[in-house]
This record gives sequence, structure tokens and C-alpha cells, in this order.
Amino acid sequence: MTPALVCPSCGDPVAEGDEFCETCGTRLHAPPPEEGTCPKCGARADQADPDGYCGRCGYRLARPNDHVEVEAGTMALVTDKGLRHHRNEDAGVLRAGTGFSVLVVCDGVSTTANPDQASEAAAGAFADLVEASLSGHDPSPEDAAAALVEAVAAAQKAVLGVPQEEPGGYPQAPSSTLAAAVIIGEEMVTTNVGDSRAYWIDATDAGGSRQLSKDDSMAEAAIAAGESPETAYARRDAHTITHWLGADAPEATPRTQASLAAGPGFLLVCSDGLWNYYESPESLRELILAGSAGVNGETTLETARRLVEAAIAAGGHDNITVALTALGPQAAPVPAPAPAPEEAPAPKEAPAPEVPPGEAPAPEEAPAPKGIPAPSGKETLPGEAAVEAPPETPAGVTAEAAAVQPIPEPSEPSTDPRPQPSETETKE
Amino acid sequence: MPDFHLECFQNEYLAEGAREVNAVVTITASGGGTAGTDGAGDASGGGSVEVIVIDTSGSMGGAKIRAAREATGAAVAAIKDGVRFAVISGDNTAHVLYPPNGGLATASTQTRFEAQRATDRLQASGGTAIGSWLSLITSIVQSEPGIKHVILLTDGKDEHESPETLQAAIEGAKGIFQCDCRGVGTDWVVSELRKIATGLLGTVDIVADPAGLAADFEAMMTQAMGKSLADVNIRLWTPQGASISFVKQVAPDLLDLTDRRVTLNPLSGDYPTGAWGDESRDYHFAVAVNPGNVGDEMLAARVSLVVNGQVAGQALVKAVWTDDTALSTKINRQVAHYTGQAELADAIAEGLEARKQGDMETATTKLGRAVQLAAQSGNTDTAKLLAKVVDVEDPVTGKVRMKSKVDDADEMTLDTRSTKTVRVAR
Repeated sequence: MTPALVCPSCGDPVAEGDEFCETCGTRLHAPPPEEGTCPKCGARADQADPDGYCGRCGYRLARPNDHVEVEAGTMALVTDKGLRHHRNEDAGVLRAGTGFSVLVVCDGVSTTANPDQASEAAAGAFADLVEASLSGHDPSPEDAAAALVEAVAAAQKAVLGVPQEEPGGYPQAPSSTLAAAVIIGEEMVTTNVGDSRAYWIDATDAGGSRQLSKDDSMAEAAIAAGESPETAYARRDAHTITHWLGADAPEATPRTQASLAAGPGFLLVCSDGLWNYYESPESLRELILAGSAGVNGETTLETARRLVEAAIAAGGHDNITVALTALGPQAAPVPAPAPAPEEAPAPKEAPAPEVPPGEAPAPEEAPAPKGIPAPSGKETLPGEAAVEAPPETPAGVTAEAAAVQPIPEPSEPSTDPRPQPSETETKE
Repeated sequence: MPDFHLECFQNEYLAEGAREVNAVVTITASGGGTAGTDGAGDASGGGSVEVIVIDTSGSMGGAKIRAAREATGAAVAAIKDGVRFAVISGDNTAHVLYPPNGGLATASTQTRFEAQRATDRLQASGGTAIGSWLSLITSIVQSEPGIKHVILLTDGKDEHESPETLQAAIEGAKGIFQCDCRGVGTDWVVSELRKIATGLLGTVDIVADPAGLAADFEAMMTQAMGKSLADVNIRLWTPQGASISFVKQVAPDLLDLTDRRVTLNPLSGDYPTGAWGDESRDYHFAVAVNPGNVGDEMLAARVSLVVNGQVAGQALVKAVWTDDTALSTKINRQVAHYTGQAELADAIAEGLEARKQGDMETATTKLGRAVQLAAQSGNTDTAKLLAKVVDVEDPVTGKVRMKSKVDDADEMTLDTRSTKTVRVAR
């Protein structure tokens, strides 16, 4: 399928060969701006002012966080301001510790003061606390859950330190959402405040992917009150969040969720800039595996970048942040006997994936999607991972047939029922 | 030199296609001290100059001229040592009463004493030609360095010269000195003095009762002595394609600076703000820019404060286009407040003008609106002045009735002080 062409300025669809966007009039095939010039008016870079604006037309020149790509261990993070927002108010942090990994995504609430600083402060403080808390010993998932709760408090405190006033003069206290995951071996412990999300994307079992986080939103509140998801998400205020980090946030003890990555797959933490376009775990799985199953394979960073690009192609209405890590299968018992790997002919259409040496099973034994090395966890034993799926199963194609351990139903070890959201304490 | 702090208040978010950007910039000067305790002048190295010009036309006779003598004496007493000064008597022409040989004296115990003695010789006779007074002052002070400030007192209409002569004198004095104007009694013309005060970056006020003149003069002189910095300009940069709708001082009172622009280059121009002491003023900028696309951010204006050619502080006025109406429909309190204060001043001016023309229907509507705006914005001083001109039935809806009999002084006071604003309650 050819990807739909959209106007880079307004995001509306355009036809191939159009010279101008019919919606906003932007010239579609304008020559790319010369390096170091204003993309709006073409003024020379030396006309830029010290505050980052074009000295001729006043256009805001690129900020450092407009688009950021980060890799840490086997994790990747890509954040982008998208097409319709003037700055990137999302932030994300990756930390690869000894025996654990941390992924954090925060989304500053646009209608509050300094949301970009709020999200950055929250993500940094959160990751710092988790790292400090889990370093130096073999952390257990229980340790991780406890660390996440403390880290939410640390993130909250960090947001309180963000200046309450910005030149625009918004009286609302700086605020941010947060979604985070700690990975210890095949254990994924997640938490969230607001509507940033964590997903488990099962590479082999099409039905095994699931959303690990639960939005603090009016839609979820309505569902909890008995509304059907369809009507709940059709509400005008469906996306209004009921919990956030910030001075005016309602009090709540964060919920954590422990899940098992029983098969090869991906842990995805993202802001609503992605899931507004790819909401269901199935659609995200299809998107992720579309590249991983490709001829040349791709790195986790490439996959993350592709997700961001997909959100932009779909309209890019909000800032987009994708934190992604590929999780390899651990030594879970496989009930269905698989043919010995060396006896199985490698599928010709699925050539050997390129994976970093020593981190993944041998290529011919890995029918799973590309780029899914085990996390830099303590129990990465390449040999054990090879028996998860029958070798004749090309990744992402007949993965349903693969005999993999389904992800267990979620247990909620430290669930603390939150107060029902009140109508007055919400944010768009 | 004082430290200048600029703070910008605006809603930078605009709906798609919108182009008008509004911002209020608060400029606060602090740490400047006063004009040198020895009066040696401002930080720019110049001295400072004070001129008091007193209307000595025939109508000033009696209580008014006695009050003027006393007030001039009090003002002279407040002049600091080292300040260059003069006292001028103005009627059909102007002449320097002190120093005796013309020009300027340097303030000291001796010269202040001599000046007060000379002031006692002020006599009321002759006509009123204010333009000639201004022209004389211009010729005396124009080559002097530093802050040059004039206090002008009159009691009548400028009737012994043409309006063009007065206007030419104002133009000739612009950028040379600042002039605070006072009208004593009720026979002077508010619009005339306002024209002088506005052109020369000063204030205008009424002293209806001559008995209040001495205190007012002393206060004016004391405030003038607190100014330490002459010739402070606002430099406004706007992007290519932008047009400036207006530039106004909006606090402590309204002063439209839009036409005072001195163009530096196609994107930048300077607006004079006069001399500064330790004080805070608010300015309202309205700029129309080329609309950007949703997601674009633009620097709509850069407001710099330029002191002796050096940028002493700046504020950025931004425009961000969004399709999020929660952002674009927010109204900034400061911008709304001062938009209201400007409307209040206009409603008073239009209401009083309609009243003069006998159009009581329009007068009632306009002054009713003024009562409503004054109440909404907490401008209690103006509300009190309005209540002397109209009977207020309901300040919330602005329902008023015209008073059948209004004291001339009350009407002129309302007219004169209609440009006084209050700041946003924080």
C-alpha cells in the first residue's frame, strides 16, 4: 500500500503531483530550504536573532527538542513536535541499568504554563529516582513497583519546581502526564498518570498484544461507571484527563502494573500523539511488525522513528513520543514441541535478521521480528530463546500458530483504588 | 543608571488566519536613585533643567496670582542644588522673571531665595499666547544637557495667537523638554493643555481651587527631581510584513505614542518615553502580522528599552497559531484590562462632547458605558468623578441619568482625568 500523501504544513491529504495544498495553500514541492536559512522566508542564518527567531520574518527557527532520537542499550526513543504544535512539550528518558531498564514518556499539558519544562522535569526526576533505587542490587519486580511509586512522587515534586508563570501568562500550574516501564528480565512493571500509555506488543501472538496502562481520562471514568467503550470514547470530554502531575493535581497513589513478556515482542511507551492515530494494540502491532518483518530488518531506533513518522503522516496533530524496546523470549517452557532448529529449512522469504552479536539467538533460529534482542537484563541466555517458535513461522505472518506462552492476565500488585475523578479537576 | 525590567503579558495563541497580536509590557526601573543628591544631573552626564512658567494674563488677578506666587515659591524650594532653573512669566509674550539677566540660574540656597523674591513680583496683566512661552523655553534650554522639565500654569484659553502658532511651538519643543501642564480655575481649555502635555510627554491636570496649587507644584517638582534618566526610548522591532496598529502607554495614564515613531530601518523604530526615575509603566502594543500556519511560532515584536543608545532590557511578543480553541480563545487579563481602560477614556471624551453639543441621548449612553467600565475595572477615582456628572442607577449595567446641573469644575476634572488608568489587581 502506498502511504497517503499529506501536506507537510497542515496535515491534510494531498494528491501526488499537486503543486499546492488545497487546504492551506502551502507550496508542496518547494525546494528544500538551504542549510542555515530560514525555512519560512529564506533569510540567511546570520540574520537569525539570539533568541532563535528569524531576524527578517520572525519565524521560530528549529529548537533542539523539535526532534530527538536516543538509544540506550536495546531501547530507543524518538520524540517529535509533529505538524500542528509550535513546540515539543513531550519529553522522554531511557536508562539502561544493571539488571533493569527504564523507559519514561511525559506529555506536558498545553493549556498550562511551561508544559515543556514540566514534562522534561518530570521525566528526568522519575528516571533518576528509579535508577538510584534499583541500582547496586539485583532488583526484583516488587522492588521496581515500589520504585515506580516513589518515582511518581519525585516527578510530581520536580513539576512543582517549574516556574508557574510564563510570558503568555497562563495561570494554570505547569502540568504533565507520565507513563513509564521498568523491565527486569521478562518482567515489565508499568505505571501511568494521565493519558500517556504503555503497550505490550506480542510479536508472535496476534491476539497477545495489550495495553498495559490505563488512562486517567473522562472516557475511562465513564467506562468504569458502566458506559460502553464506544459511547465513552465518543464523549466530548473523552480525552480530558483526570489525573496529572502538577501543583493542582488531585491526590492519588499511583497504580502499578506487573506483566510478563512471555514471548518475543516490544514494550512501547508513548504519548497520545501516537495512540490518537493507532489506538488499538492490534493496529500498533501491525505498524511495528510491518517494518520488522521487512527484508532488511530494522533497529529498534528505526522502528521507533517509523512509528513517529506514521503518526505524522496520519496528521501529526500533537507532539509524538515513542519509547520502544524489543524483548526477547526468556526461557519459558514451550508446550508444543518444535522441530530441531537445524533440521528446519530457513524460510527463503525471511532472510537472517541483523541483530547485534551475543544478544540474540542465531538468525536461523529466530523467526521472531527483527531487532528484538533481549534487554540488557541479567538473564539473557541466547540459547534459551531459540525454541520459542517453530522455525517455519515467519515473524508477524503466521505468528498466531507459534506456540508461545500467552501473556498472563494482569495482576495489580500495588493497586490503590483512586478517588473517582471529579468534574472540576480535569484538564484538556 | 537604574535597572530596567520588562515583563510581557499576552495570549500568544492565535486562531488559524488571525493576525492581530496584542501584548502589554510592564517596564519597571529600579535602583536608579534620584537625580543625584547634588542635583548634578542624570547618569548620562548632563545636568538637569527645571523651568516654571506662570500665566500672568489679566484673568489671573486676585486669588489665582497669589496662589501662583505661593506655588512657584514652593516648587523653587524643592529644586535640588546644582539644577539649572528659571522662572518665566507668560502673557502675550514671555519673559524670564528669574534669573534677572535671562537664561538659567544654578540652584543654591542663594538663587532659590532670589527666585522666590522675584516670584513675588508676578503681576497679572495682558493676554495669553502659550506658544510664545514654549518657544522662549525651547530657545533657553535646547543646548542644555540632561533632563529638561517644565511646569506650565495657565487659567485661560490660548486666545492671543493662532492654533497653528501653538502647534508649531509644540512641534519645536518635542524632544527638547517635557512639560507638565496645570489649569487653574475653569476657564481654560482641556483639549489645549492636553495637546501640549501629550506632545511633550507630560501630564495635564486641573487645580480647580487655587488653594491647592502650592501642594501640587511641590509634588510635581519633587517627582521631577526623582527622575534620573533622560531620553529613554522604546525600540520596536516587528517582522517583515507586519504593521503596527498602535503603541500606547497605558499606565499610569494613557498616552498614544503610535505617531511618535522615529523610523530606524524598515523593521525597527523608536518611541520616546521621556525621563525615568524609579517607577513602573505599562505599554500596550498591537501589531498585525502575516498569519502563519497552525503550528508556526513567530516573533511578532521585540520590545527593547534603549537608554543612551544601549539596550537596557527587552521583552518578546510572540504569535503561535493553533487549532486548539482552548488556547486561542483565552483572553489575557492585562490586555483586556487596558483595552477596557482605553475604551473608558474614549467613552468619557465622547460622552462629554455629546453633552456639550446637547445630544443627551448619546451622552447618557457613552457616560453610562463609562460608569460600567470604571466599575468593572476597579477604577474608583474615575467612577467618583463620573458620579458628579451623571446620576448612577446601576453601575453593573451602566444605567445612568444625566444630572440637570453639573459644576464646571466637576466636568473639567472628569475630562482632564479621563486618561488616568488603574493597573490590573494581581
